[in-house]
Amino acid sequence: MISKNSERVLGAIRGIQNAETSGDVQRIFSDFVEFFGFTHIHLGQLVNPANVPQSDILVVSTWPDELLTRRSERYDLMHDPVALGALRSKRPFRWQKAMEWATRRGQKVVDQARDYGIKDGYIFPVHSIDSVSGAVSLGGDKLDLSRSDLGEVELVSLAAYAQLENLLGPFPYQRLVDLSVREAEVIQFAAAGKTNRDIAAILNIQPDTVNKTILRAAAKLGTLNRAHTVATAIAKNMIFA
Amino acid sequence: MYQTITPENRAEHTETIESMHRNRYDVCVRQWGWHIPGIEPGYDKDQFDTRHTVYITVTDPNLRKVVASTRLNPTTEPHMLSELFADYCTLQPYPQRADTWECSRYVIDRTLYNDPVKEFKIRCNLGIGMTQYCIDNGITQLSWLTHQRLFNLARRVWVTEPLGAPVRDTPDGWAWIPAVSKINRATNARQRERLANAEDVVAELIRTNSIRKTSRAA
Repeated sequence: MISKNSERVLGAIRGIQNAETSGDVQRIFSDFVEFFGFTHIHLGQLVNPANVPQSDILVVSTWPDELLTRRSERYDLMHDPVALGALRSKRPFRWQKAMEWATRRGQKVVDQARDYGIKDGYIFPVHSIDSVSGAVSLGGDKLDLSRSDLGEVELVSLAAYAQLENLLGPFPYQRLVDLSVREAEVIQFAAAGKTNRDIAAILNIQPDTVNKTILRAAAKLGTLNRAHTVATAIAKNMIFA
Repeated sequence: MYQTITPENRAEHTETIESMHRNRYDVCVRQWGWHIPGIEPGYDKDQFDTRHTVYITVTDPNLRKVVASTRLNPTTEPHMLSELFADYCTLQPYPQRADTWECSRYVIDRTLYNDPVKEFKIRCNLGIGMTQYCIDNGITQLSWLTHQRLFNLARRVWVTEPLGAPVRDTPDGWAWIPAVSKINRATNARQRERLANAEDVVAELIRTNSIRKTSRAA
């Protein structure tokens, strides 16, 4: 049976897919979700905020600036039970569900949004082939969505996310950092706990060359020390974990 | 490189077809855990493998077997959306037109390769084979029931529109979304460009955690 909202859903998806500016996408998306009682949109790529500044990733939000600044300054995303839940969820869920696994700090992160009048909401994870790449979080006050409403909002959320990523990307953190084969090789051994002397012996090069290679890789990755370089290379899947 | 197996040339490809049905069983039943009623053990061939069906296959010359395949059926004949999943189409009716065919069993054996670039090239070849067949035969749309992860991926290549809301009725909890994708020369060009730049595209997908660096299943 065709849903009573079908024209509204397809109209929003077509409008978003044909939109030429991010502002148009946001406007169409806001109008659509408002019908379901959502007053706030916050969508973006889910990446480690301690490693990638928010300015370098896709984030589109209608949350109050003050709330965004506070979350950004304190790395709240890393404690946010809603975002953490999205990383391992196959389906959308209501924010309150995330309180089941929230830490004390995580509860404060959620409470903080409530202080700004964003009391209830749903999050829609955006999946790629092997993982969750981002999420669309929609907030409001008194929400009452049926199962079919939820599916329809999910579809339009996915369309908005894809089009915004398309229009606003690629993002700096997505740009390729080309580690040379030698740099990747050296960091791979550093990740296995080998010293510069060990790595030099394995690769039949001078220890000083190993050190210089690691420094060169660190400069490319923008990392501060050996551990940070190894962790970043693993996080970006440049070497085997 | 892909092969296109049509009702007209099917007799020349009997070994490939056999290999494809076995590979489909390996992936769909053994790896994905599907229960497909009425098929023989080790061999996935069901009521939608018909005399009208067109197959696109990719064979690995080293492994000497089909490692990826898909099947295309005309929507003017009984097909999966019309016979099994019509109730999934809650936003618009499934198309039944001569210029719209249904894609199903879009299968790539991801356990065979450690190299994500190689796997990506196989996926590209399969997609290009499918699009090329459509362009050569006046097919402008493909309908399909997509896994939610494939739905997001399909968007990167084809202009894709849902036919219904996501349905989560399988034990693994993943959603299935009926959808229709537009096929045209621009689609084909985009696919060929992605294949030509496979290393860069895969590098970006890895950087954004969209795919794993190693594709072989644990």
